[in-house]
Amino acid sequence: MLNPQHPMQLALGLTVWSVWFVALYGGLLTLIGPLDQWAHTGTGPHMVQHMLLMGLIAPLWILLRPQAQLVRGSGALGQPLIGGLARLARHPLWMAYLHGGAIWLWHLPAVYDLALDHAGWHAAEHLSFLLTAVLFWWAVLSTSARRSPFALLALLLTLMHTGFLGAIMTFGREPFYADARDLQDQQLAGLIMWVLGGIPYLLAAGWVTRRWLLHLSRRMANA
Amino acid sequence: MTETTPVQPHEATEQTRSLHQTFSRVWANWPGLGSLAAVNHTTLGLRFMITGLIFFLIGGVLAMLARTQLALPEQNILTADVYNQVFTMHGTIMMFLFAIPVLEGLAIYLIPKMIGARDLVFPRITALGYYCYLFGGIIILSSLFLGVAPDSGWFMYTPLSSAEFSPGPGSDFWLLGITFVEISAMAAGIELTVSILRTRAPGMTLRRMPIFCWYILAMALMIVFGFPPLILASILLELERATGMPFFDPGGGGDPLLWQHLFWLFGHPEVYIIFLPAAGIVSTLIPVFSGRPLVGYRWVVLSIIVTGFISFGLWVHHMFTVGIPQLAQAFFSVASMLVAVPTAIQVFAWLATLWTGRVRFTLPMLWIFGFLVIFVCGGLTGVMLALVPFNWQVHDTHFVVAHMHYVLVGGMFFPLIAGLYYWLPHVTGRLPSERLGKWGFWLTFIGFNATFLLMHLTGLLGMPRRVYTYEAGLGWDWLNLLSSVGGFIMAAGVAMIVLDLLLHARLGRRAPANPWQADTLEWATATPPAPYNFASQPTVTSRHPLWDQSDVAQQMAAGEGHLGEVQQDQRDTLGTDAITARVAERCHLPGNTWLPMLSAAALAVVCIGLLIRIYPLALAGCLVAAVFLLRWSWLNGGHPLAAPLTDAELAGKDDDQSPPLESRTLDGPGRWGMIITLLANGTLYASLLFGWFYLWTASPQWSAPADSPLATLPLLATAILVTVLTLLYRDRVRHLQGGEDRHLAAALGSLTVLGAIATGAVLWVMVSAPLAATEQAHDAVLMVMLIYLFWHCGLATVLTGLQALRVRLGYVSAHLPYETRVLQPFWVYTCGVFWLSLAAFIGLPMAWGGG
Repeated sequence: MLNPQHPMQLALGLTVWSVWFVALYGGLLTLIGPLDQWAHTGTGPHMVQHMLLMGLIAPLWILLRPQAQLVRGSGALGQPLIGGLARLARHPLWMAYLHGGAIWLWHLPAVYDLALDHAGWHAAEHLSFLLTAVLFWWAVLSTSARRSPFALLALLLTLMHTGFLGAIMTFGREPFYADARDLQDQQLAGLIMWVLGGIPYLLAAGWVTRRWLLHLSRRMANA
Repeated sequence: MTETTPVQPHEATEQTRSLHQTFSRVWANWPGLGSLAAVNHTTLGLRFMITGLIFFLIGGVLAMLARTQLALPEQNILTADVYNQVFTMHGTIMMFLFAIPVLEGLAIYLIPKMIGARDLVFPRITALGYYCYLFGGIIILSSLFLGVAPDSGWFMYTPLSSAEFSPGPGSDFWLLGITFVEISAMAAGIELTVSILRTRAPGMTLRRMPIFCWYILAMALMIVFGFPPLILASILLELERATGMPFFDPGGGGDPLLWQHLFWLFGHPEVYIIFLPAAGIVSTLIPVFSGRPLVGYRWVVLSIIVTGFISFGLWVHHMFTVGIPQLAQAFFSVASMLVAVPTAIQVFAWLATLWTGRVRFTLPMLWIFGFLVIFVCGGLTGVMLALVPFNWQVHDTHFVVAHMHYVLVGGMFFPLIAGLYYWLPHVTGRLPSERLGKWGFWLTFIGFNATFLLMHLTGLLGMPRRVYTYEAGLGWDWLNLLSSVGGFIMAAGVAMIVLDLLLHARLGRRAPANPWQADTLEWATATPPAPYNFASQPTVTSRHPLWDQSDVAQQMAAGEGHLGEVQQDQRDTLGTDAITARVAERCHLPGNTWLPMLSAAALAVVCIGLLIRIYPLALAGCLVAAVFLLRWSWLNGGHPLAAPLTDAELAGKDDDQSPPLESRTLDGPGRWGMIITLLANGTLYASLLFGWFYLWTASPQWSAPADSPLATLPLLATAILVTVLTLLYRDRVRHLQGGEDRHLAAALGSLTVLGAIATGAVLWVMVSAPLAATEQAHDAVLMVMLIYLFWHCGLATVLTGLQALRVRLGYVSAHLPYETRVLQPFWVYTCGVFWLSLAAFIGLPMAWGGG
């Protein structure tokens, strides 16, 4: 499909490639690089790590449409699994509930501190964030024209509830978590979730709307 | 208004004349006092706008009183107390009784005509909304004449508005009255959403929808998501004032800042709820008067939706000075700049349309240019206010007052008047006076700028807002005097407009059909319009039907389109697919009825009962309202007074070619209405959850007992019971969809009994729990949560019981499965709320643990 001779196609190819590059290496950097060390120094940096996972890497990865390759490469065992996930990903609102459930659950102080103390739980935390985020973004970003309004609702819901959680962390009268250096650290974490974390959802809302309108006009042209 | 014979878009023949007479007989309002029972959108849209205009004039008089008082230093025309009431009522009336209702009225009047429909999809809801608005407005206004008007400012900050510092009934008038008026906003929001999505003329896909409809759709959805936080906050504050539940009182573990969060959670979207429809007017008028389509339709739609999203995240920038963390101020200062982006997209789209078109400089365009100038200035001062240091400097000064008036008058009033002049020929069939209109514009424009441009300076020189007088020699004297003079010039301009409105109905020239050569379908009606709008509905093939589809108006009026004849003496309009606009069903619309007015009157009794604290009266009002509302729900679907099964249908012979009635389908607009209502309801519940978490983590003296005071196991058992009920209900509905309706009445009857048991269980938990709701905010929130569960469980049960009865009477059956499908989402929602409540109010405190 891609024709490297054509300048537009080449530019598109380069864009896709660089997005892939950012997603992959950004992801590695977040999980194992210096950022992970930094994430142990306070709630704010830790939140940056989570936000990169959920708000940057997951959506970029989905935008690369890796599903086809995954199905190819995963063999007899993985294919039904990916097919099952694909069925789940047809329901943006349910995926938003699932993702929201994971976010709120891991932010309960007792659960959060558990993850801080045990590397295994920490891995589980990151895995559940990443997995539910991937499902959420998959459902939202590759939705059909008919389900686009639900994708927008799912985005609004997620924007609002992460905002509420961020607000609660911002206005809390004392630190909730064991890794907070001080109250300001937690406020920073809350604001990163509330304000910076909201940007991917806003951009996605614009993207979904644009895609939806394009779908509709294409259908109109065909009709 | 006048007995003008309507201008018809077609040559009347004998045949079309008799067609229109038949339609008129079915669709006309009752004569005389009977017109109070009208449900027609044209009638009610106009009533909304005229009522709003009257409230605007009253609000304007209050503004003139305030300006008179401030014209010279150290005056005593108004006492401090009266002045407080005056500015509070000015803001309240202009926001809640003028701006929002007038725009709703405009949308109610225009939307069905623009989308080629005959009426809104829930006509009785339109009427209920109007009466709630009228009665609520009168109740609020009466406080002014009783001398006990609210006086804590239009945003009613606690603790100033709490019982301790506002002991009189003023705050109660505001809280109860505004909540009552908000029923009309919610009604309009839900109804407009469903109407736009489900009753567009065949072929009008979303892409072919006039841009105005996108704006109104966004406004309607923002009402659905934006108003619930304020409704919840008002209920909580009124509960605090009436019973002492300390939601906002730090002494009892509450927090006054919670009010501000909930208020601005509504208040920021509300700015856009007001601005978007006005921008919709601009986006409609500019292309018409430029003689070309809007530049960047898709970009404008995109920016509308993004504006809606952004507006739900920025409420904190109204609270820079109340003592929130400095870090938060920095973040929101930057984030506030974001708002400018989607608005700028629209401004550039308008400029590009003007630039590339051939502009006709008409009276409406004059107001549009006024809008562009003033609104852009207001936007710029808004960016200034987003800078925290500057915000701190001018907080609570007249600079903020000036900014707000630039945004609201520039962003809403100017486009509104442009729209008024544009659509006036549609409403009355006559043209206004160009000369009076120009006087009106220039007086308003000059007067407005004289008042508010100078007021920026007054504010920068340090004059605080909401003070009833000031000392001479502070440098504010001449500014205030000029502002007052400007205010009176603006008032003269408004008087010109009103005079023009009154005179043109008698003296105006007859307007030809489609006088502005517009592109949208509302100009395909007769002018003034007939109550049924169109004798037949069109097939739309273009975004600009009147430009691109020649003769569409004539064909519609000649009855050559869809539903071109009256069937069974019923009012009807087509229901179409939300996206593709393919014909899905024929919606039977109810005719004139007193029920909406009676229901609203009963609710007004509730409101008054609560105000004067005679609770038996309020309870009686509730019961009467319930009777009227349930009777209303009874007259639907297969009821003999609605759309009963015909003999052919009973015999199973369905040879009718026309689309099925919505009560014979599974997914009509009613189900959409239910779901949109539940979205609003869910937002209310989410706001309650936010309040709970907020108080838990931020309230300075929050105290929670170690163990939940609620009986956990019984609540858990009830939640399981409700889940089982929901599943059983769903199962019955699925059978019904498959055409299986044996033992349906018995099954629904037993579900009702189970529902009653669940409702009783919640009541028992509520009564038996040792809750000190009037002493501890913790217990007060739990109490509200339990009342919420009780209400939902009880309502679901009652409605299921009514369904059982209707099955027995034959109004619901395999032929008529629709109503059970409408009720189903309510059970699912109730079930969801049960589990969420268990998790958040009982599970979470247990899991909070060591933190």
